[in-house]
Amino acid sequence: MSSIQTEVALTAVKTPAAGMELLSKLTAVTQPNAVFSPPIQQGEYTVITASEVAMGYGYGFGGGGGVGPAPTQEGKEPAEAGGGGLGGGGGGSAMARPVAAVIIGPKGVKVEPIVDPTKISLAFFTAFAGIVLGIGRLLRQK
Amino acid sequence: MIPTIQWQTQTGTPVTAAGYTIRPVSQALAFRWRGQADRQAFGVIWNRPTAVLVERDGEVEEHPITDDTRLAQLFLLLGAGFVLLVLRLVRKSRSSSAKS
Repeated sequence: MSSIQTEVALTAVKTPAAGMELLSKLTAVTQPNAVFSPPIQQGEYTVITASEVAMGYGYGFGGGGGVGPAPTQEGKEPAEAGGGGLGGGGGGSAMARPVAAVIIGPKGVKVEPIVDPTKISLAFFTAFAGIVLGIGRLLRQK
Repeated sequence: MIPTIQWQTQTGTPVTAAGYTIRPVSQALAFRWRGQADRQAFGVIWNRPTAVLVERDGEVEEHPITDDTRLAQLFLLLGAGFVLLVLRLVRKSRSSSAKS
C-alpha cells in the first residue's frame, strides 16, 4: 500500500474537520501513482507492478442535549438542570491486489498478468457448488 | 446532501528506463457523500490500471493491462449463472408437462 493509504488507515479522527481533511486526502488514491509502483531495477530489467486499489472510509459525529427540572429539595425553589453529550465514530478499509507487472528490458516492454489462484479457486468452488445444488433440486423434482 | 460520483481516466508521471518512456494510465471511480455540516461523510474509491503507453523514438504504443483474475472470476460465475438458468427452464418445462 502507498504511504497515503497507510496514513489514511492509521489516522484517528477526533473532529468533523479532521474527518473532512482525511477524506480530501482520499483523492490521492485516485491518482495513477497509487496503482503503479515505483520502478525496481534488477540488472538490465526494470519492473513496475500495477495493482488494483480499493478504499472505503466513513465517519459520523452526533450530539444532543436537554434541559429539565432538577430534583427539588424542601424549602427551595424548583431549579433547572441540563445535560448533553457528543459522540462519534468511523471506520475504513483498504485493499490492493497486484494485476500485472510491466517488464522493461533490452528486448522491449512486456506486460505480464499476475493471476491470483486463490480467488479463481474460490470462484470455481462457488460456481461448482451452485451447479451441484441446481442439479440436486432438478433430480429431486418428480 | 447530494453524493458525488467521478469516473476518470488519468495518465501518471512518465518513467524512463532502457530508452523507453512509460506512461501509466489508470481509471478511478470515486463516490463521496457528505452529510449536513460535515458531521457525517462517506467515501469509496476504486482505482485500477488500464494500460501503459510506451514511447520510443517518437512512436507511442499502447499496452493494455488486463485483469486475468477478474476475467476468470466473471467467466466462472456467469457460466454457473447460465447453467442454473438452463436448469431452471428445464424444471419449469418438466413441471408444466407433468400438470398437462
